[in-house]
Amino acid sequence: MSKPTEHPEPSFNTHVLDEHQKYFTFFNVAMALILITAIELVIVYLPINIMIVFCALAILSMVKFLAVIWWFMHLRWDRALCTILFMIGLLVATGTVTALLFMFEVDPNGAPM
Amino acid sequence: MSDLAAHADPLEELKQTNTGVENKKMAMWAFLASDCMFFGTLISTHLIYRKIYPTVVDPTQIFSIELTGFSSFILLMSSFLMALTVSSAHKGNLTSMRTFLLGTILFGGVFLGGQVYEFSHFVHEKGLTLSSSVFGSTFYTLTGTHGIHVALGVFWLAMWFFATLPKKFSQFTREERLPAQLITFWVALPVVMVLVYFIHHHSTAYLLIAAGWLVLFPVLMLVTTPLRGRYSHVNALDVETAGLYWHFVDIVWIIIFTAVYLVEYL
Amino acid sequence: MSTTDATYGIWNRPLKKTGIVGFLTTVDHKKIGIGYAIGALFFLLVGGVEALIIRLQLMVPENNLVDARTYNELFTMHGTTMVFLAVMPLSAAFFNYIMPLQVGARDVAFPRLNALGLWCFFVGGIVVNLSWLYQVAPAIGWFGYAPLTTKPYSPDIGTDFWIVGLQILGIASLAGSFNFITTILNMRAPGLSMMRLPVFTWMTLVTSFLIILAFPPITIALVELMFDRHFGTHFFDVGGGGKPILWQHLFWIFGHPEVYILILPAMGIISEVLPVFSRKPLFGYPLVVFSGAVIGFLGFAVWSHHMFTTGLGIVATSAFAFLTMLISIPTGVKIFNWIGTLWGGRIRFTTPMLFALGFIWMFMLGGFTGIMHSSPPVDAQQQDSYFVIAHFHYVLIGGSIFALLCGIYYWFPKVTGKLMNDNIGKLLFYTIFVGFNLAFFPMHILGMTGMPRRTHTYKAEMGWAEPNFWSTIGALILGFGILFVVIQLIYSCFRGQPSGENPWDARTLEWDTSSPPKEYNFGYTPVIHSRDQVWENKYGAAEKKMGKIAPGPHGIHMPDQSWWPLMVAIGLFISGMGVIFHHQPMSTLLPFLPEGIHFHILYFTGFGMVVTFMSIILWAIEGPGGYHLHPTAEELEGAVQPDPQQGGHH
Ligand code: HEM
Repeated sequence: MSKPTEHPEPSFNTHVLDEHQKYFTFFNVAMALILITAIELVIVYLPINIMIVFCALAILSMVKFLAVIWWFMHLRWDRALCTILFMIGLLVATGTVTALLFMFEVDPNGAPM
Repeated sequence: MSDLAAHADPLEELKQTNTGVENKKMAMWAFLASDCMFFGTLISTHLIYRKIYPTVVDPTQIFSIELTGFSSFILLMSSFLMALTVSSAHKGNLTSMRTFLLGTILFGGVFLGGQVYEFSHFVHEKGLTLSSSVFGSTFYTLTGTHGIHVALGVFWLAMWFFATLPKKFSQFTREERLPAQLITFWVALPVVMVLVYFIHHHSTAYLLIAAGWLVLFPVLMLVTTPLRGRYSHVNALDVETAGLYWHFVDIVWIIIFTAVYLVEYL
Repeated sequence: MSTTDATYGIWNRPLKKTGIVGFLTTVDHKKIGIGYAIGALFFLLVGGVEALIIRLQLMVPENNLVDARTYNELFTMHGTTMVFLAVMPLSAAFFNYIMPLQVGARDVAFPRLNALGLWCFFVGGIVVNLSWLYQVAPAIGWFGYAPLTTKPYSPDIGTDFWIVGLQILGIASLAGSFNFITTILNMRAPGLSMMRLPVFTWMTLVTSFLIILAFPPITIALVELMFDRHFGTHFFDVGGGGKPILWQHLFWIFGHPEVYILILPAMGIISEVLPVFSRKPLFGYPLVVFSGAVIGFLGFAVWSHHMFTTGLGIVATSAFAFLTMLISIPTGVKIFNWIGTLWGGRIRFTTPMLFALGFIWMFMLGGFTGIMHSSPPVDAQQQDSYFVIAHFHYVLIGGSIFALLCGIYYWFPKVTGKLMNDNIGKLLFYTIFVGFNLAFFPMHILGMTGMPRRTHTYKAEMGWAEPNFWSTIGALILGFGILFVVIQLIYSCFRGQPSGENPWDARTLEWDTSSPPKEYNFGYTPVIHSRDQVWENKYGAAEKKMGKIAPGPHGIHMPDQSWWPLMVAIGLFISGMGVIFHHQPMSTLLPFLPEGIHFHILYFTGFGMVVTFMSIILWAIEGPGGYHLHPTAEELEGAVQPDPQQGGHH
C-alpha cells in the first residue's frame, strides 16, 4: 500500500520502478521455461534409464509449474492468502489423483477393442 | 474524502478489504483452486485408462511431438506476454499494454489453431476419434476441455483489448502507435497462413482462414463498439484477474504436456 | 461510481424493488435467501410425498400400489430431490440470509452472481422434475451408478434430465460458494477477526470450500456420462473398454464431501442455537471451529468407504477404513463441546432448543451406526440393506433436517419480524420426533434381518411385515409433522405476533439490526469488540460494547438490480433442454411436433449458449452500478462520524 508519508514523494513513481524491475524477472523466468521445455523434449529421446528420465520430467515440469505461479501469477508479491487458497485446491487435487491412480491396476485381459 | 485519499490510487482503494486482497482476485484464486479439481479429474481419467490398458494404443504413433512442443512453447510465451500486460496495466502504460495484450491473444490463437490442426490430423489421418477407443475418449475430452479454457481466455482478453480502444474511430490516430498495432495484428495472421500454405502444405483451408480473418477483423472492430472506451486504470485489476486465469491455463498445459504427451515417449 | 447510471447501454436497468420484476431482478441477499427457502421447502414437500409413496408401497407385503419401475423412479427422485433440492438449498437460504448479517456486511461480494445461483437452482430443480411431466423419471438411484446409466440400460431420456439438472444445480452451488468465501474472508466488519466469527459463518466458509472442491469431479463425471450417452465415448461403457467402477470413484469423490456439505451447516446452526438458549457462550469455540475444518478436510480422504464391497484391495480398504474412523474424532469433539455448552447453563426449552437437543441425540445415533460400517467386514453385511437407510436418515433427518427446522424457528423472527407460536412449535417437534423414530428405528432391525434397500416389495414369509407397517405409520406422522411446520410458517408470516429486534436474547451480530433488516442491513458500520457482540452490548463490560460508525455524507452504497443473472439461467435451461432432447423425435418434446424429424443438439443448445454468452457480456458491460441510501437519524443513534483519514468510502 502506498502510505501517505511525511517525506515529500520522489518525483518518479516507485511503483512504476518496481514494475520495471519485474520486466527483467519475467524475461528471465520465460527464458528458463523455454530452456526447461527444450531439455524435457530432448531427454525423452536419450538412452538413459527410464526411471531417471521419468523423475527428471516430473521434477522439471514441477519447476515450470511453480515458476509460473510464483512469478507470473504474482504469488511472490501477493498476500500469502492467495497462495494458501490455491494450495488448498492443488493439494486436494494432487492427493485425489494420486490415490485414484494407485487404486487401478493393469487389466489382465487387455482391452476389448 | 480528504485530499490525500482522493489522490490515492483507486486500485489501492479496492484493496481495502479485511485481507488486503481484492474481492475479484480472491474469487479468482478460489476458482482456480476449484479448477484444479476439474483438471485433476480429467487427467486422472486419462491416466487411469492408460494404466489399465498400457499396450492397447501406441500414442507415439499418433502424436506429433514437434507440433506439441511448439504449441507448448507458444503457450509459455503467451504467459510471459500476459505477465508483461499486467505489469504495464499497473504502470498505466496503455501503449505497451496493448502491444502485449495483442501478443497474448495472438499466441493464444496460434495455440488454438495448432490444436484444431492436431485434432483434425488425428481424426482424419490417424483414425483417432472420440468413440474409436477409450484412449480417444479420454484424450479428446481432456485436451478439448483445456482448449475450451484457452478459447474462453482469448475471448475474455479480447474483450479487454477492445475496451482499451478509444470510443470513436477518429480518435484512433491520436493514440500512440495504435494504428500500427492494429494493422500488424490484422495482417500478421494472413501472412503466416499464406506462408504456411506455400511452405508446408498446399491446403486451401489456410487461404480461407487468411481471407476470413481479413474480413472478420473489421467486423469485430465494428460489433465491439459498445465495449470501446470503457477501460480505465481501475480495470487493471480485471486484467490482472483475467491474467491469473490465463496463467492457470498455461500451467495446466505444462502438466498435460508432460503427463499426456512426453511420458509416452519413454 | 456514485449515482445510478440507469440508462447506461441499450437496456434500462430495472429499478423497481417490488412485485414480480423486483423479485426477478433482485440482487439483495435477503430476498435471494428467501427465494432459496421457498424453493427448498417446496421441494422438501415434493421429496416427502415421494418418500411417503415409497413407504405406503412397503407398508404391507406384496403390495401393488406402484409398479417396480415407478418404485425405482420414486426412490431415485426422492434421493435426488432431498439432497440437491431440499437440504442443500435450505442451507444456502441460511447462508444467504444470515451470513452477511453475521459478518456485518451490506451484501455479499458479488450480488449479481448470487442471483445467478438462485436462478440456476430453480432451473436445475425444474429440469430434474420435468422428467415426471414427460413420464420418464430417472430410475437409476441417486448415485446413478454406471453401467445402469449408460444408453443400453437406460435408453429413455429420464437419465438425461437427471444429468443436465444436476449439472445446472452444480453451477448454482459453485456460484454461491465463490461468493461466500470472498464475502466471509473480505467483508467482515471492523474488529470482527476470524476467531470472532459466529460458528455458523465458519461452517458456511468450510462448506463453501467443500462445494468448490467437490463439485468439479461430479461435473466432469456427468460430462463423461453425457458423452457416453450421446457421442459414443467409452468412459463407462464396458463393451468399449470403459470401467464402470470409475464412475463410483468419481461420484463418491464428490459424494462424500457432499454429505458433509449437508451436515456442516446444520452443525453451524446448532452451535448458534445452543449457547443462546443455555445463556452461556459456546464451550470450546476454537475447538468447534477447528474440528469443523478438520471434518471438511478429511471428507476428501474417505470416499472409498462407500465402495468397500467392490474389492478395492487390502491396502486401500484398510486405509480408507482407518481414515473413516478418524473422522469420528472431530465429530465427537463437537458433540462434547455442545454438551459442555449445555452444562450448567440456564436452559430454556423453546422450539428451536428442542430441535437442537433432538439433533444432538439423533445425530449421535446416526453417527454410531456410521462408525459401525466404517469397519469393512461389518459393512459387507450392511451394505445395501435397510440398515444403511436407517443410518443415513438418522444423520440426514435427525441431523440436517432437525437443524434446518431449528434454524427456521430460530431465525424466523429475524426474517419476518414475527413470532411463530412456541406451543404449536413444541407440539410439532414432538410429532416429528416420534414419527421420525417410529419410521426409521425399525429399519435398523429390518436391515440386520436382511431386508435389501431399493426393493419394490417383499414376501410375507420374510417376517418383515410388522416393522415395515410401523415404519410407514411413523413416516406418515413425520410427513404430516413437516407439512404442518410449513403451514405454521406460512401462517405466521401473515398472522404472527410482532417479535421485536431480539426476541431470544441472542448473541450474534444479526440480532443487532432491525427485524426484518433494512435493505442495507446496518445503518452504521458495526465495530466489533467481542465474539458474542450483541450479548456483550447488553450485559458486557463497557470496553466490550460495539462501536458504530455512521456512513459518510454520500450515504450507503447499494448495488443495482439486474436482469442478466436470470437471463443466463434461462440460457442454460435452453441449452440443457437441447442436450436432453438430442436425437429424440420432435414429438417427444411436444406432442403436436412432427414425429419423423429428430432434434439435433445444436438446435437448442446453440441458441441457448448464444443467450447465455450474450447475457454474460451484457452483464459485464452493465457493471455493478449502484445508488445511495441514507439511514434515518434514529438508526444512527450513538454512531460516530467516519474518520476522514480512512477515506470515508461509502
Ligand atoms: C419424510 C421423510 C423421509 C422418509 C419417510 C424417507 C424414506 C426413505 C426410504 C424408505 C428410502 C429407501 C428407498 C429404498 O431404498 O427402497 C429412502 C431413500 C433415500 N432417502 Fe429418504 N426419506 C425421508 C427423508 C429424506 C431426507 C430428508 C433425505 C436427505 C436429505 C433423504 C435422502 C434419501 C436418500 C439419498 C435415499 C437413497 C435413495 C436411493 O436409494 O437412491 N430422505 N428414503
